[in-house]
Amino acid sequence: MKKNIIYTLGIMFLIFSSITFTQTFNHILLMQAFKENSGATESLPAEIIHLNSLIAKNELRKFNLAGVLNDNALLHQRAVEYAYPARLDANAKDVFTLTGTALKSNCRWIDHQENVEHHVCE
Amino acid sequence: MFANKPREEQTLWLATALCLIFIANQYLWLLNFTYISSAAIGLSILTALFLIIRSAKANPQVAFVLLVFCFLAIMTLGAATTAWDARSIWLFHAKRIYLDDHLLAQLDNYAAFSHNDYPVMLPALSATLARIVGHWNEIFPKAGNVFFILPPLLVVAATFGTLRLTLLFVTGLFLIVGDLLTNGFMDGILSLYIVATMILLSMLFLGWQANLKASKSTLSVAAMAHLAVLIGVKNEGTMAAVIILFCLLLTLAINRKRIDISKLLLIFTPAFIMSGLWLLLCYLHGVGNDIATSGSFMGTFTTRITDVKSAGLISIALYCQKWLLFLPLAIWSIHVYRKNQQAVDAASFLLRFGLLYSFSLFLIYLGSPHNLEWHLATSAVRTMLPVTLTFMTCLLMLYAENTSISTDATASAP
Repeated sequence: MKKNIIYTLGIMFLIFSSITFTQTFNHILLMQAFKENSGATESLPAEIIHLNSLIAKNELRKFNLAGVLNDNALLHQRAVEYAYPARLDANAKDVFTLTGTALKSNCRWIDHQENVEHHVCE
Repeated sequence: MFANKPREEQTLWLATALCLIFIANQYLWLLNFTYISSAAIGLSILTALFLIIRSAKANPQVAFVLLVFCFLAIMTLGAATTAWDARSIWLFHAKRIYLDDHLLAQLDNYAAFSHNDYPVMLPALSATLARIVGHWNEIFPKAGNVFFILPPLLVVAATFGTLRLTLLFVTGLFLIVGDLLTNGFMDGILSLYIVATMILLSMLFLGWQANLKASKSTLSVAAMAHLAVLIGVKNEGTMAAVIILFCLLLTLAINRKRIDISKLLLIFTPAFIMSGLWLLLCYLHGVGNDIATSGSFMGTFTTRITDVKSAGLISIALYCQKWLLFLPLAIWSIHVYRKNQQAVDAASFLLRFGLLYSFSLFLIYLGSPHNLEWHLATSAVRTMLPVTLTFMTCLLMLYAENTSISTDATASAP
């Protein structure tokens, strides 16, 4: 009898404690778990996805960030790790910013995707 | 030959085999045969899983552990990777190993924010998974961590002996660690390896669960393998290994038991050599630890140790946690279950470790170069997980001993 009570209580607590895992669970992600590049839109800010698209489109190996993309710790960190193997380099000519960021006069606008802009600074 | 061994011994060998596969995996990345080595590692893990499934047919605890493993794997594969450390440290390091095709890719110290001095054993398995799958994405690489959860859970299943205790352990683990097991963080896994290592050392040196059908050599190899993985999980693993060794020697000395130096050397040396090699590689590449190198550790330490506010902040963050409730419960249990000296010795060993580990954390926070409030808010609960899980295990060890005494008494009654 005592053994059964412990089992029942144990199972109830186990189910209760398992709820924490289900809060972040998404069955659509499970179906796409092994697809190439899946999970990016759910894991990253939209700006970083756009930034990476621009880097991939231009096949850049080095890039630089300016404005909010550089100053915001989250955006900066996500840009560095998601864009890899393209590397952040303070001397790179290709600079990415959010729309509306003021840059020096030697920079010219090249392209954009949503609110992320690509400039080349000579 | 393997099939003829007692089931507890089989389970311990399977846990050990998985640990050895994880260790071999990281060193295979140093060679250039990455496709062959990835296939070999994949096949080895699959073989171990097949043997675990076979073993589960006759062993309900192992079957339960397998169910827990499947549940955690599904939860991991169904969750996006959003946690800070998971992305900026562990998966970034795994991605670098995979894309650069080199285990030591992070030692060029690119993106210093990602703590390039952290060990690479878990990222290496994620990179192997990516190599097997053939590409990278933001979901499955962190599932490599779930494989690391399996060996310590198998140790718990083999040594606690009953399904009821294994169920209680997993419930406690879920309540205390929660989604830190599946979101790409390492603290839950580190805690599990600490607990599993101490359980195995308690059996080897302190005579806990002496009637378990596992030979001393099996226990020694299992302890050695778990300890070697422990130091490869995080830098804290090396600190934990040193504290475990100190507490074990202290417990043996207090109880006036013989200290078997050769056995201790056999178990601890491989782990310390691996840790030393990693530290040497970091040193040679000029990669340092953020706490040790940014700012003056001793200067901050001496300023904060005399500052009541700082000491108070650290004390509150570390010691005002709900799951530390297990500490008074464990002390009370030691007082109540005095009948079995071996169980009390083992529980005291765990208790000493938990307390000393928490004091070590206290000292590290005193010297932390970061803003103290920020550092505590972002890490104190996670870094205390080994302590809370150790106290919970201590309580369960005593409860296990008590139930086995009750069962024996019932069985021997006329």
